[in-house]
Amino acid sequence: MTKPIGLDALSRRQFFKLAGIGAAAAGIAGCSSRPARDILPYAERPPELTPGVATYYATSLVQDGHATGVIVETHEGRPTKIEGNPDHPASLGATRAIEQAAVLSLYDPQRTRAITDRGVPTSWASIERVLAEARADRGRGTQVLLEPTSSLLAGELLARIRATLPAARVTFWAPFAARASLAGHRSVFGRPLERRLALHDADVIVALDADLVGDHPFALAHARHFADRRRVVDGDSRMNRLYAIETSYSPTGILADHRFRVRPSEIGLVARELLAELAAAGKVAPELAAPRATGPRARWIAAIARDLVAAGGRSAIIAGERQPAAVHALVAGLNAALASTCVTYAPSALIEAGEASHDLGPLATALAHGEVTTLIIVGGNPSYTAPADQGLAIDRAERSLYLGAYANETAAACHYVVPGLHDLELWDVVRAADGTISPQQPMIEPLFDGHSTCELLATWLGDKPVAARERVEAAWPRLVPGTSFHQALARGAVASSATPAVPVEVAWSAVATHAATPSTAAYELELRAHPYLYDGRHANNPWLLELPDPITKLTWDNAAQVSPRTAARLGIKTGDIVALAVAGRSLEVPAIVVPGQADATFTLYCGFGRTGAEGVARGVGVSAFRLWTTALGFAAPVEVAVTDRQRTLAITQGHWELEDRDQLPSATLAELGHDPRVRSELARQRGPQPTLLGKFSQTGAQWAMSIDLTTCSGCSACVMACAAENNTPVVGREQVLNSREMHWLRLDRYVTGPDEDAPIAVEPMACQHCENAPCEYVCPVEATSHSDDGLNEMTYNRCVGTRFCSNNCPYKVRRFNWFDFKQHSGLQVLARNPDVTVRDRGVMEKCTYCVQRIRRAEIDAREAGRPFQGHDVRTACQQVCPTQAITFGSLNDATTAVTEHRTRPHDYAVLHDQGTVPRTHYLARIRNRNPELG
Amino acid sequence: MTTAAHDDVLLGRPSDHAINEQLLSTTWRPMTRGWKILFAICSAFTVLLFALITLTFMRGIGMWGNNIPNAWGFAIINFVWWIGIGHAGTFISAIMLVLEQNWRTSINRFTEGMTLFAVMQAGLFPLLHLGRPWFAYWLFPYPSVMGTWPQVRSALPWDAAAVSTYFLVSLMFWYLGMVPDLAGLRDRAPTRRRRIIYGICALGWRGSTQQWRHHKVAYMLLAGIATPLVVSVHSIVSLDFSITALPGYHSTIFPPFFVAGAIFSGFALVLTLIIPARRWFKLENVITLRHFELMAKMCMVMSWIAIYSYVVEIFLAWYSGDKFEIYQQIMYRPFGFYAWTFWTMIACNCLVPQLFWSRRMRRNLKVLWIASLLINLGMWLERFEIVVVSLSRDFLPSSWHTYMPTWVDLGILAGTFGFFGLLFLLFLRFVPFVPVAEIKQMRGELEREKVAA
Amino acid sequence: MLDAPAHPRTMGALFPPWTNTAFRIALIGVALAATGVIVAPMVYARSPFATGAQQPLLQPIAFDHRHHVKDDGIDCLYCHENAQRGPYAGLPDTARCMGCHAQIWNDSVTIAPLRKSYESGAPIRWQRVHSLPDFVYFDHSIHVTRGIGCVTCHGKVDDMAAVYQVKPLSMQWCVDCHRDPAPHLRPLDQITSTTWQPTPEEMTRLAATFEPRSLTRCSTCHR
Repeated sequence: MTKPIGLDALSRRQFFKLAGIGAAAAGIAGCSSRPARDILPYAERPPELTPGVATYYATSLVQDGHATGVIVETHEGRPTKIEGNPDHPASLGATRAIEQAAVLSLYDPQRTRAITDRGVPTSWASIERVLAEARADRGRGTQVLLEPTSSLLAGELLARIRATLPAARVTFWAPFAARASLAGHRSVFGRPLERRLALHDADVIVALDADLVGDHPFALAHARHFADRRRVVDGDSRMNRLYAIETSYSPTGILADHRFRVRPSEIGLVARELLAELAAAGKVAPELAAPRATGPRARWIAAIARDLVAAGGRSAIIAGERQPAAVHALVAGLNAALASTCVTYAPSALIEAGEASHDLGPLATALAHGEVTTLIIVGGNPSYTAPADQGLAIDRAERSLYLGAYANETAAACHYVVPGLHDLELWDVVRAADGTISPQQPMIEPLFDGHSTCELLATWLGDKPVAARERVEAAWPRLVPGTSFHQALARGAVASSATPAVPVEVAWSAVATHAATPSTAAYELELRAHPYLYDGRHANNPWLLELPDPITKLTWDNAAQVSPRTAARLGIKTGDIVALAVAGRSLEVPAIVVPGQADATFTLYCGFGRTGAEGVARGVGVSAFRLWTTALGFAAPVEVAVTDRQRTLAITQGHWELEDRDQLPSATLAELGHDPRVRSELARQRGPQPTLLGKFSQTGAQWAMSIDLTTCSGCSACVMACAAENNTPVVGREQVLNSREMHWLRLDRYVTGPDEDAPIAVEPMACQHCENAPCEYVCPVEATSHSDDGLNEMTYNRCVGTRFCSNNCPYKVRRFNWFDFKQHSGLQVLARNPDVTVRDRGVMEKCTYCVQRIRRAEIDAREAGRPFQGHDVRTACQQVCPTQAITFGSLNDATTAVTEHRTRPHDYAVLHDQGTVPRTHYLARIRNRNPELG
Repeated sequence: MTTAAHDDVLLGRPSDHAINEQLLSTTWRPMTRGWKILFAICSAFTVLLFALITLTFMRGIGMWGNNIPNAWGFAIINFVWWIGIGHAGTFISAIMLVLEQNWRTSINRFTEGMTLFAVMQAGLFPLLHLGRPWFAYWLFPYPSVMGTWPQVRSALPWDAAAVSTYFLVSLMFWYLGMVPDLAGLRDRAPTRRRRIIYGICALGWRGSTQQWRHHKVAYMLLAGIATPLVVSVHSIVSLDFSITALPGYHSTIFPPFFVAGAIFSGFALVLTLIIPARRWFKLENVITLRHFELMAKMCMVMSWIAIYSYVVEIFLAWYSGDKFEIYQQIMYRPFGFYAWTFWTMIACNCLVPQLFWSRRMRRNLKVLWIASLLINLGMWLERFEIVVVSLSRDFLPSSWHTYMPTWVDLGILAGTFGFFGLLFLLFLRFVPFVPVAEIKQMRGELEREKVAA
Repeated sequence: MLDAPAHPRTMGALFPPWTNTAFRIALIGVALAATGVIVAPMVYARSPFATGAQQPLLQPIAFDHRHHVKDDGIDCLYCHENAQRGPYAGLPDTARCMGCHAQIWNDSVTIAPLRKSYESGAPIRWQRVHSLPDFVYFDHSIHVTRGIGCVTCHGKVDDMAAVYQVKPLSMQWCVDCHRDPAPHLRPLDQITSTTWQPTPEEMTRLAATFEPRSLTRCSTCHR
């Protein structure tokens, strides 16, 4: 029942070798009173290292070639936690859930561990031979498949390859890499330019099927810039306004002030109709003034158009990458029409972005025709992710070689497998989505003597082997002239190295080419990258599999999202299995009913249904890629057949309704300004309560949290950061089904309005650290008690497990170790935070406000002899939050943001009337509604 | 005048010798086949019980259906139910003794046995349901090397104290009452081995006037101690719920309500057990229809207290205007996911006992027996309502989740029935379960009253 | 009353007179056992058997603190330097030992393991003398830098041939000091001294400089 997920035991010796030595032992050991007896000093201690004190290094994590700067916490040479890098433009100090979980993927037991030839271990020499042969005859018959990359080193090598091995073909490909937008922009600008957004300048933003704060490579920056325009202090605050027009709910949809549901194929039409409105307003040539919107849509299209015109240059219209090129052309036209200063264009940071080499088709064909002698696949997992109409017949190649870090489907399909490197193990120089140059440095020696992409390409070119660091250090002056390598390493980015925007001229003839006739099919299917598993590359990461989806709260599965109305029409409910057929290809998948989903549409996440050697990923969900064809794209007409079978889905929050309780108030900016009813309603949920209990002492630091729901998108990065920081265990699908998930922080999401567009607000819910905590007085052994600085402390080793505290917690934020959930051995225990006790079976646990960070800061302050400030501490959830929705500090310090938030008119406490006096307060969700739309 | 005035609490005027023969011989007469079969079944379930306890200790209480929010489940229900059963025993033997309800004498040993074994079942659960039972001793105040003490504001340390006290007092009370009869067995048991064993157990009882005087004093003293326990123990148990802030838990009516409920279910179980026992051991003359009538009336009284409590609970929920209480008591319990348990409970606890308005029903053993079973079921479901139904729907809808017992939960519950039955069968087998000496005494009193009359 | 037993089967009394004595003794025995069951564990928990105090451990190298501290006058912090900088006082790395032992006693058999470690780079497996449970967080530096000396917890190590644990390291023992740290303070230049004796006025002055707080909140040690 509690089978540790995807682990293989390591021998004790290996274990210590990997763990680093000395004090690390104390960190890994669990919550047992029998300590390790051995103590191992270094033979020679690295000078920078003090056992027990964490060291931090800057590096970059890469997805589809785009870098996100991070700072990695290491303990005795063991990476344990990843934070965003404030100095990196693609991070600004935040990360997504995916980056948080990357540290676990590093220790993934199913990584490729040895060079193999058809499964038989072999040596690097044999690989060199293969590559030498592939070099022969100017590389004829050799095909290389890379993931899109921005690596400057790879760039150099590829240039040389093009020169010296002209007969070889190089293809760059990843399923969700930008293609449509580049093609669209090529058609209007003549060059495959990339869109850059300056959301901090935008007053009105229209997202057309675009999850700009979610799955965009620059999402973290977008989220921050967007949120900085929504810090509501009171009713007179100025806010930007976001219209989200999308098929299925996305974090962007949650943040939106207005959200409208349309079918995927209608997005183009909406764009076209907006253009028509602008034409009517005289913004563009009048011949574009048709077709005008009709029916119910007319009202809001017109309203949005007027809003846009009013905002003029301070507006932005963004189309999502799932939309076809023509829609991107249209949208480029819209922004041009508005003379938007918030949307600019620049060349992509990726090598050969938008060129023919980014098309998988030719390679697929060549393989099918058996024209490939040597196939070299570097990274990615094309056997799994290739579209159904471009499947790669790898076995048709004479020789195939895979360089990758994980034993996935592609590795299984290739003859030779070479262990790749995790981002935390390698040296490289890459670019962020805005072109910022970001160095990558290893945090730990390669665990399984992996080889880097550059090493492979260099060997192919016949270069002499070079140590990875030398390769980078030697190339640096050449690649980034006039900058200091070491400064760049220390900072994690080269300052102001972003590629500047280029002036563009719109070819209006190309703008309106879109047929603008939506599909007539009864049902449409929309395929999306999973918010955590992405294209399936993270599917072997149990942290991400157990992280509830931002909207559906589904774990350990993917399911076809369908609107309540459509579900009713089809007579299906959550869990019923439906058969979806696209162009003759059929897939059986459970349905899940989601308010706010466009009617007559299904949305299915990719990334599940993995079949490789990765034990955790295998058999979880079904692969939506099987319904994906390049011909139809990510949205396709679909036939639906309802089966009579069911599958119980592990959903952590079944309820959508507020059950007319007032735990989550929300208002419009106008109401907050001058609607006395709303203001008093909010005021009723804060302030002093009549009580017989004594007032809680307010001396010294008094920790408190304030969460701004206006900027919470439910992206769940905080949940993952909390799990990573606090060693919370993964419990598996069976346990989640019985509501035994262990996340200390859950993101409650409720539908806050009656209409079918279903406005959703998210309310992060963790221990509220009540001053009159109901959990404390019922514990028979005082295992949970109150500290003088206002923390509700949970002392695991004192807990006997009566669970009385959980019963009496009105917020039900306490988690219980029903079984021995902790891992005892295996690689992944190395990801644990040594400063946080690993909990035993039978004890209660919960959010501690990251007490280990508080106490650390206290000690540092006292040792340095400086006063302990109310903002010296940042909790893991606060630090990771892309929109900075979470603030933390001392209430006893007038200079902290928390203290100031308490004075705002929309400050409230959940279940205030229960008199628990929670230390976590919320700022009510405020929407900046367009008065025209009410 | 006491009920002993009605001479139908003892039929005929059997001589001391006859009484001895009838009541003591049960310990050496060969047991019937029925007894042996029952014994086998109960042993089997006892084995199951301890197997499942071991399993739970090895793997953790994740083996049960509990979850968050339903952190408590079967274990607590069973605990409250079993401890409640015990109360009738103490009520009959202690309170009725103090109130000089002499008719109790024929059944008090029997009910004390029941109390003792029920408390043993109950005592298992507080330990079992702990996440780390091996630290259970932390609930008791003792000077530890950690320099820590239990939390006196919590109900649980008091619970631990109350239950253990209750067990000890019940044990002493039961044993003390039995001493003269053990001596009787020492003198009459057929084999020397038995006589020696019973002799040791009799603690050298000789039946001298002095010993009888001390015995009476001690017995009365223990009765005096046991009497407040009847009220205190279940009141403290009820605090496990009423000190919380949870809708459906935090109810000031709980202490008296729990005590009444306890005695209610207790009397029901006495009936369940004594009706067959009386038949097998042919005790129609000692345990008479009058006894049953009186017990049926007690059930009815307790049932009305329960009805009153239900009404008050629901009324107060509405009257409080607290939306969480109203949802829990008025919407969710009667109409929610667990509605069927609510209505079954109402039927068993409120309707069934109304049968006893009719004298015919009170004297019809079949009806009595079935009714008693239903009442036991009803009282168990009442605890289910409180423990599980309240937890599964509390303040924030986001945390709502239902509770389903696992096969381990069910197995442990069944196992306690087996274990209880096993102990009870042994009790019937090896000690006189009708107090011989007191019966003789009662006969004496009855005769004297006749003369007086 | 019970009517007198008249059994033809009974030969003499069932219980001879001595049984009374036996019975009384048994009663006393039961009483004692009951008390013992409760008291014995409490005694045990406080005894060195349970706390592990007073038991020198066999170390891979017979390292003599008396010699190094007393004879050579090496300060604690020369080897256990991390005590000032981090949570773990730690042990000196092999290189630190070889700093001296490359010159002196460099061929002694006693330090053969040391040389082996120096050549192979493999750490020496010392035995942990003072070990706290994993759920207890202890930070050396905050104690050492705020006026709590080595001797307070580790005893007079300079008198130990083989180091052993002096204090019980029980929670009670920790908490006693955490409730009132003032009496245990010492000037920072006396931190490593095992002989320093305070004067009353010095104590008050120390209390003023360090302003020690009574830290009895659970999360001070349990996180």
